[in-house]
Formats: sequence, C-alpha cells, structure tokens
Amino acid sequence: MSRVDFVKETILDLRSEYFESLRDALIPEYLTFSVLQGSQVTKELLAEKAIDYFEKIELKTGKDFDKQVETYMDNLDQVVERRVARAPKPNKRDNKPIETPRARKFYDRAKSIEDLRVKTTEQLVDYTRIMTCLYMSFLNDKVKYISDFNYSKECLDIKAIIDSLKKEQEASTLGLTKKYKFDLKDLYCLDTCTFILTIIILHTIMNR
Amino acid sequence: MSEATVVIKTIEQFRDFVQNNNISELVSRDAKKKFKTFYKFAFDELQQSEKKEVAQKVLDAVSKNTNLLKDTVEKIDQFAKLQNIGLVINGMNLCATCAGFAIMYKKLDSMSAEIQQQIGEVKQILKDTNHAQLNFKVNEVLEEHMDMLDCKKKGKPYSEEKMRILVSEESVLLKYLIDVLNYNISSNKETLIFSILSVASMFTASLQLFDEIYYFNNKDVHSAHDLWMEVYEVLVSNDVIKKIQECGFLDMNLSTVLTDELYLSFEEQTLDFKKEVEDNLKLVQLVGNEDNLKAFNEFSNDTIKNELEEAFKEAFSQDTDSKKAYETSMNRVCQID
Repeated sequence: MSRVDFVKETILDLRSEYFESLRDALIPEYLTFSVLQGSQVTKELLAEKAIDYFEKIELKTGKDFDKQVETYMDNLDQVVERRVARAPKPNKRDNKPIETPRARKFYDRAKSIEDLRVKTTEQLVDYTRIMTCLYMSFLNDKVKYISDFNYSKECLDIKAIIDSLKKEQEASTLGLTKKYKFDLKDLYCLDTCTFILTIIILHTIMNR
Repeated sequence: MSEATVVIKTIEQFRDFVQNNNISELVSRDAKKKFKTFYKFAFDELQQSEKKEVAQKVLDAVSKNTNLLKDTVEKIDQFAKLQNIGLVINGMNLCATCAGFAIMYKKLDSMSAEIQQQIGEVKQILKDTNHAQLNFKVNEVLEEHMDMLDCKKKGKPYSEEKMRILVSEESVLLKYLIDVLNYNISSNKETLIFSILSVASMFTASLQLFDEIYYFNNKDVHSAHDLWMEVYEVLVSNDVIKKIQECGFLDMNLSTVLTDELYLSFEEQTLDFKKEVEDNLKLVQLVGNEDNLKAFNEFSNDTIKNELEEAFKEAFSQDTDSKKAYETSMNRVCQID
C-alpha cells in the first residue's frame, strides 16, 4: 500500500464535517503549519502534510509505509488481544460443543487481515473498525475480559479511544515500575505514527 | 380540527390549502358520510418540479443499495456475494402481487428442502417450547400464498378462515427461520437471510390482506393481531441484528462497510414491513368498507403509475439503466392486480 493511495482513500475522501474534525484532532498536536492557521488548512494541504509526515518517518526509522502500517496493527493488537475472552477449553467429560465468544470470533477474523502480506486501505479500515469497537466495549463495560461487543460504529468515541491509548501502560521487566506503552515525546517515531494513523482511519470509518 | 366551512371564490384562494409537497387532496363523501372518492390536484407550474422530485426519489430509493455496491465492486473481489445482497435487499415487497411473488417463489421453492431440514433441527432443539407444532411443509406454505394471490387476482373467494390459517402458518415459519439463525444451524447464512426477508415479505402481504377481510367482516381487529406484529420486534431485536452482523463479516467475508449495509438494510426493510401493516390497518379502519378501499387503491396506484411514467419519460427517455430502474420501481408498487 502506498502512502499516497492511503491518504487519497482516507483524508481526501472525507466529507466536510469529518474533515474538520480530523483537522482539529491532528493540528497542532501532531501536525503543524508554520504560516497557516488550522482553519485555513484545506483537505489537499492536510493530505500533502500527512504524506510528508509518513515520508519523514521512513527516513528517520528506515521503515517504509508498509512497515509503519504493520507496526500500527501490531500496536493495536497488543492493546486489544489480552482483553478479549478466549474460547473455553473443552471438557473431556462433557460433550457439549465449545462456543467461541462473539468478541473472539470477530477478533480472529480481524487478525487474519494482519497476517496478509499485501493489505489494502479497505482491509486496514476493517481491521481498525473491529479492534477499536472491541477496545471501546472494553472501556465501556469495565470488565477484565470482553466476550461480546458492540459492532456498530456509532459506539466509537474517537477522543475516548485516543485518551485511553495514551494512558495504556506496560509493566517493566522487573515488574516494579510501570511505564506508558506509547512514547509520544518524539513526533517522528512509530508510536506517534500509530496515533496519527488511528485518528485518520477512525475518521474514515465515521465518514462512511 | 375546525368544522367551519370555507368559501372559495377564486383559484388563488385554493393556494392557501396547498400542502408542503405542492399536491393537495379533495375527498367526496357518500350519503352515509363515508369517503367515496379521493382527488389529487396540483397547480400546473408546481407539477413539473414535483414530477422530477418524484423521479429522483424513486431513483434514489431503487439505487440506494446498488450504488454503494457498485462503488466497492472495483475495490474488492466479492462480486458474487454483492449480487446476492442486492437480490436480498432489492427483492422485497414482491409478495403482494402474483407477478412479483413468482420471482420470489422460484428461488424459495428451490431452497424449500434445505429450509425444511433446518426447521426440523430447530424443532428438535425446541421440543419443550411454546412454538406451535404445525406439521406443515415449506413448499406447501409457498403454494398456498400463491393460491391466495391467484384468488385475489381472479376475484375468486378466499375465506377469512383460510386467510387466518395462512397468516398463522407464515408467522410460525418466520419464527422457525429466526430460530435457525439464532441457533447457528444453517451452513448457508446468505440463503437464510434471503429466506427470512422473503417470508417476512409474504407474511406482511398476507397480514395486510387478512386485516382487510377481517375488519370488513367484523368491524374489528383480530385478537391475535398484536401477537403476529411482535415478530417484527423480534426481527430487529439485538440478538437477531448481531447474528446478521456475524453472517456478514464472519460467514460471508464481507467488508465492514458491506456488513453495515447488510444489517442496516435488513433492519430498515423490517421496519418498513411493520409500518406497511400499521398504515394499511389505519387506512382500512378509515375507509370502513371494501368498496371504498378498492376505489382508494385504484386511484392511488393510477396516480403513482402516471407520476412515475411521466417523470421517467421526461427525464430519461433513452437511458437503458433508468428503464430498468423504472421497471423495478413499478414492480415495487404494491397492488392487487
């Protein structure tokens, strides 16, 4: 997938209300303009800025856009997978069929997209839709593991998802101190790139 | 509502009564004060834009689903599945006429053995439930529906009792199909969704006709009416909608956009069915007798047909796609031939 095609099929495809929301979410926190005010930035300008950003990420990290997308998908997976209930183990004494939880079924299908060598923007959107719907259900239900979830895109709260991702923690190897999973101090790093991709794709989902 | 009589002396005074859609209605009553004839009229300079608006609305309604499907066909490699979705969503409302039902009948009849087997499995699971254990065969229900439409078309008698039995059987058949969906019995989910919507369409047509016959004979609504209407609530319940989503994304391997289209269209179609029955019952109670209803239906159908014909002639005389859309939209006008 080329970054140009991705931007064309996402940012340039947005209706005005979703474009304005995307613009407000990205500028100035992630993307900045030296001369223009945020409200003066058009779809085309934002699209060019986004393409330049992904190019800079490639120059700095050595990872092309496909690898950036891979990292993005892997990051989402790490946050979501451990919260999705697994199918119960079969009981040898009991012949009852094992019912895989609905959330796990959708997760597995989305995961199969991550395993594809070549991905389209549509597949990336599908992956993000399922992962963020699962994550949203986890945030709303406040349980350790989710077995069911709300598939409807109306349940997605972009701000709530981004705020929660920023607070995601991982234990240190010593298990003593916890640090944030995503380090957003550096603008041109893969963690920040993950957030920018999440925001763009979520707006694309809401736009459709 | 005011009972005062308004005296009109000039045509300009009529304009005050023109409705928002620029078309107004006059009704004449018979000696018993019941509605006799409805007249629709519009001021000439408004009618052109109204025709185009009607044409646009019809085009939008007919092409709503196919346009989205066309846009995504180039992007994904699931054209066969898209055609079937198109058939499912666009093939509804055909069960009130012989010509329309013939299209549905052919497909349903070919699937009746499979449907029958799935119902058999559900009956096993639901041995202790309160489902009516009717020993019907699916193709017999289809044939009975066709027979009912045929009687209506030819003006042959079809008794109130036979109609009630048909409605009851279609209601039970629909509930069994919903159970097939909920119990994950069917291996062909696409066929199952088609079957559910088709039988819901048949049931909707039958229930409307039964409401008419029963009300005109008894001046009342049948006591089981509300119970029959509950099936629409079941069809749009959370459990069923979740199953449709699973069918789309997991079994039919649709994208999330197409899965949304599938379950939202299913929901919308079901709610349309429900509204049709409700609106028809209100109309039946309003007109009061069969002759009035027949006159109203003839007038409405002629008006709709004429408006559609004029709109399409005016806007799209040579376009073959639009001709096809016109034919589809004509089929969707529910009328008893």
